[in-house]
Amino acid sequence: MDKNILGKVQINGKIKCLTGLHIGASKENMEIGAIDSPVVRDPVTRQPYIPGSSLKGKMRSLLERALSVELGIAGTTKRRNIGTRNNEIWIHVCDSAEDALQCPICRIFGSTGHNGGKNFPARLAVRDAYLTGDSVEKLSDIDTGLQYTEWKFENAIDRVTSAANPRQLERVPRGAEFDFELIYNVEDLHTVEEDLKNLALAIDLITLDSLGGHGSRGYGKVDIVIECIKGIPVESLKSDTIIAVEIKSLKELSSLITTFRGKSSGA
Amino acid sequence: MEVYLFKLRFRGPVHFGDTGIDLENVQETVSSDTLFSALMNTISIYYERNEAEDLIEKFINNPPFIFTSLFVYHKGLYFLPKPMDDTFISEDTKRLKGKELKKLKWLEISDFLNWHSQSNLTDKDISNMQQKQSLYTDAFVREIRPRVVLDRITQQSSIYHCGYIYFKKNAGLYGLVAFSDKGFIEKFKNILYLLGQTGIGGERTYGCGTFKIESFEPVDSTFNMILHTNTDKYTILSLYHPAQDERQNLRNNLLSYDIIRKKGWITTGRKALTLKRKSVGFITEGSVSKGPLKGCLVDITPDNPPPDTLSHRVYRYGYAFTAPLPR
Ligand SMILES: [Zn+2]
Repeated sequence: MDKNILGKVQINGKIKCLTGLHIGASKENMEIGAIDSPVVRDPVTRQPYIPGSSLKGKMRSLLERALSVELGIAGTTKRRNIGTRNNEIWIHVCDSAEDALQCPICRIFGSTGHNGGKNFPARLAVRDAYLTGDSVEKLSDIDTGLQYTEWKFENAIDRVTSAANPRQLERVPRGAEFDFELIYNVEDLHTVEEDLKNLALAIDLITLDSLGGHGSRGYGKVDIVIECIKGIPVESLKSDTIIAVEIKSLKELSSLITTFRGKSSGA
Repeated sequence: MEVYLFKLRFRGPVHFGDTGIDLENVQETVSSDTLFSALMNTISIYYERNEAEDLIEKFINNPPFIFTSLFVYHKGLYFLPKPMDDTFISEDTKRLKGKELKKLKWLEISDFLNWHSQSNLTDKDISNMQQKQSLYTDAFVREIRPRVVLDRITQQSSIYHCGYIYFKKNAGLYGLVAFSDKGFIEKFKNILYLLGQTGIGGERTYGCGTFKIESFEPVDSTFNMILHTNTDKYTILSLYHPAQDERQNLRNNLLSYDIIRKKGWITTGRKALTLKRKSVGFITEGSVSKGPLKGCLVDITPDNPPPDTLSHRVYRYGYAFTAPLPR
């Protein structure tokens, strides 16, 4: 029997850049003579943004590392090579939807079935994070010759030949802020608390790590501020009039979870 | 039939492509069969499963509503596929303007109405149509995003590419829905609203394809004329799969048409299966027939699906929404 949805948890907040942020775009799309290493931009507004995929990928890999020992997924057990034979990329993915339901990583981030196993669609959706109105305004005024961004010379030294390889790196300046939104689908009551706690952990881990490229050189330090967490039960989603329980921090989780109780006749 | 126009405004990028095929390959429109599957999945997620099954049962016998594929609107202009029949255009015009005519794929609705009424086109008509079509191509931007996957142990990265469409401000997709059973008007609107929360198309895990219903209103003026003109030719505005009793006469009835084959994987509720559906052929949007068309739901359940994987039959939507609508 298929599981119905019990509701959604919507988490909104801001990502603040404590250092310059560089999320790279592909160079193929760039005009000739442009900067060596450009950042991703919304093709319509030209504003830099943080792709939902980058954010989600980072959350998954950090959480995977943090939980690897207790989940028994350290090393190469329960891992799959999603790269090529020459460029192996090992990540943890459960082989069936049944396993994924028991796995705190795949339950949140999804898994693709293997050997006939069903896919488990991610419970979490991470939207692209766009610059806040305030930041757009502030950044429109910066005089760097670039739109909303700044550039920096990086001198990469070739370890073998010691030849200097100076290049320009584009980055979103320190102080810029992005609005982010996470949507978590509540599918049962047994796992919602653990999932949300792990989500909170993943968010914390990002602030201890970094976003985007060149993190080892200090780029991409961010602070993530959660401003609103809404629990929206399915009945309210259906009626078009959102009646939601709002909390300010994931520490008040239990009051949020009660919103979904009684909505699950079979669960 | 009561016909409504609904407009969708997307909250971010969209990814409309054939699943399992090239991720870079994306289109800006959504075909009617994809919309139907998305609506049915929404019902099975948000309502009880038997509600989706009841509705499918209704659709097999006599659809309570039919709808078009989703097409582009931009700055108050609505676009429809150019009808493939051009027999009314003089040979002279075709010789001189052949290239331009070939490049016309989308017509703004007043031009569609002109084409529909089948009076000969002047050079000026054609350049007008071209000019408006430029607003079509200007409604969205296509983007190929490089995507990186990080190895958990070595931190090595691997890159692949994925295509997205960004609609500009004042642009998005719209569709027409005709109700033979008025009792379904509110229901349809409600399901569409829920679909907007989840999103349509691929890459939903990154928030792609979520939308707001910009408007949902009975069609007025131009669309009314398009749907109720007196013409002996019918342009198909959805994908169409002929019903059993239509097949005999099909070649004779179709004046100009194209075919598309659709395949892919099966999704049931929130679960995507590693199970291929039967591929099925459709007559495409813009095809033209001499007489009214009906269509059907096509059963695409694979032969002998593995037990416990699939507990229900799988259908693709193939009802024809034509302009004009048959009386
Ligand atoms: Zn797992």
